[in-house]
Amino acid sequence: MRISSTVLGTGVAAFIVVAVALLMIFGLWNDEQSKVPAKFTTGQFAGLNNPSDIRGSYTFEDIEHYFSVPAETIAQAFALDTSQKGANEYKAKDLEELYKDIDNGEVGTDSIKWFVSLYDQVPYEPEATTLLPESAIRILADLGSIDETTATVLTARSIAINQTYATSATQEHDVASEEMIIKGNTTYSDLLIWGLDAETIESIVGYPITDRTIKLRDDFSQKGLEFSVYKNVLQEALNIL
Amino acid sequence: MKHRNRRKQNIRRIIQIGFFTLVLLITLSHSYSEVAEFLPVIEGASLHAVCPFGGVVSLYRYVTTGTFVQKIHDSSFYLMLIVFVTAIIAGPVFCGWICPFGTFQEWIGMIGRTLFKKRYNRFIPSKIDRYLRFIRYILLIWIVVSTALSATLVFSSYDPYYALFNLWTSEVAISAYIILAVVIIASLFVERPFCKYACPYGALLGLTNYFRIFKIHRKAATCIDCGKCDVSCPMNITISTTETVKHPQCITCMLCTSEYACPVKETVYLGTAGKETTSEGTNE
Repeated sequence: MRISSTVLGTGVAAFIVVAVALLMIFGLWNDEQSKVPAKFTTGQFAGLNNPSDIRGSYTFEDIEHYFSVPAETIAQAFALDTSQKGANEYKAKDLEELYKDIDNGEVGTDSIKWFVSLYDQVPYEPEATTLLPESAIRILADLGSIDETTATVLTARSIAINQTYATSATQEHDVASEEMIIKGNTTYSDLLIWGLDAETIESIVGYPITDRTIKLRDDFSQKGLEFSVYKNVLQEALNIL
Repeated sequence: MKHRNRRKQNIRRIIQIGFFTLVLLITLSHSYSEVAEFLPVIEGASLHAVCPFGGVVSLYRYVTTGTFVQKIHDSSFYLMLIVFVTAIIAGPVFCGWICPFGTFQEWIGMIGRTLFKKRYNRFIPSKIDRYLRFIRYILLIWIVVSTALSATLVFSSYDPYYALFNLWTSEVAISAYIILAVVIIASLFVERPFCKYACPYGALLGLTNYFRIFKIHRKAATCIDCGKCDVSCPMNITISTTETVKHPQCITCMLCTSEYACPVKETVYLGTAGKETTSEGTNE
């Protein structure tokens, strides 16, 4: 039996297309990550989801779902601006782009794995070059997930958030930066970009700025301050620049 | 006859262009939502999702843990099975007709053929070429073992195919770009250099040439020993001295057959063993 090239070519192409179509029809074709992480198989953590299996495509919402770490907490830990993009929409791999200018290490998906493992108090060995933002260490310490000794060790592999906020904040707040008007989604980063120095801001609000990417409204609300009152004072300070 | 051959060549080119375009659209839609809106069927799929080799490197993890290696999906696994079925029937026909990276090398090779004429694809001495062809088996073993041990796609940092279809993203390692550049330059001198010397998937599929159902046969009784089949082979296989091509580098492109290069009707053909081909010669 012989086969011509026409029959071979069209036959193979048709076979592949039809096979894939049938797989799609029967719901067997899955070309996206199932996002179900692997679990620890041995030891005291057996059965728990393993942070080492967090992939770059995981959104913070996925991480919240599988590892019980709130998306907002992750965004806060990594000093991400949530005024334009919700915390649950960020992906682990987004950090690589946002923190691309770091010279002495890397903040990326591996940092997320590390943070989640510390948060959940399960083992994970990060890469030697992986760093955590100071804000992440502070959150872990506040939650009691790490003791002081661990916090000190982690600090040696940390990066100050003010090294990165400018990159992400200026990208996300172009419109706000032009207007120089404080709105509900204005962050401390916006004020700093507009030229208001940190000391002036802190003297007005009465406490040190710990997270420059948090919205003023949210921060004031957490601190029990009236947004409209402090907004006006800060706006006046801006107006005389 | 020439007109008929050109038309048949066009069928292969159309299929190659079709799959190249499909993969290009899949990768573009993965990066740009605007493209995905026009092609909702392929929306969300990554290049890894439509690479059958992903299924191969993920086999160990799938068997031992029931999950896939990172970035590999069910689709890769099914494609691996589909391609394997085609390979059992007709050898690495995937390489010769479908693989977009093979197609890309052929396109670059057209420039090389124009520049060097008959010298094209004849630069590497056969003594050296013979040993270079073992590299892809070493790579296949290294990739499968490393992926099994690390559960990550170790090859993606060196994969020129991934680099080609992700040129516009920031996901490609510099090493992959360098290898892609080397492949492009080498393609100007050698036909399908990556396929010949480095493709791990080609190495695996090529093994099916030993037992595939439909093989390339040469009917010695009608062969005029013109050697055109040898010259036409992009993989530099010597067909004129064998009766059945079992060479692991044959990609079933059919260019050596009587439909294309061979001037004698029904002398070189793809078929099951018939009365004409009782001898099981090999050219290795």
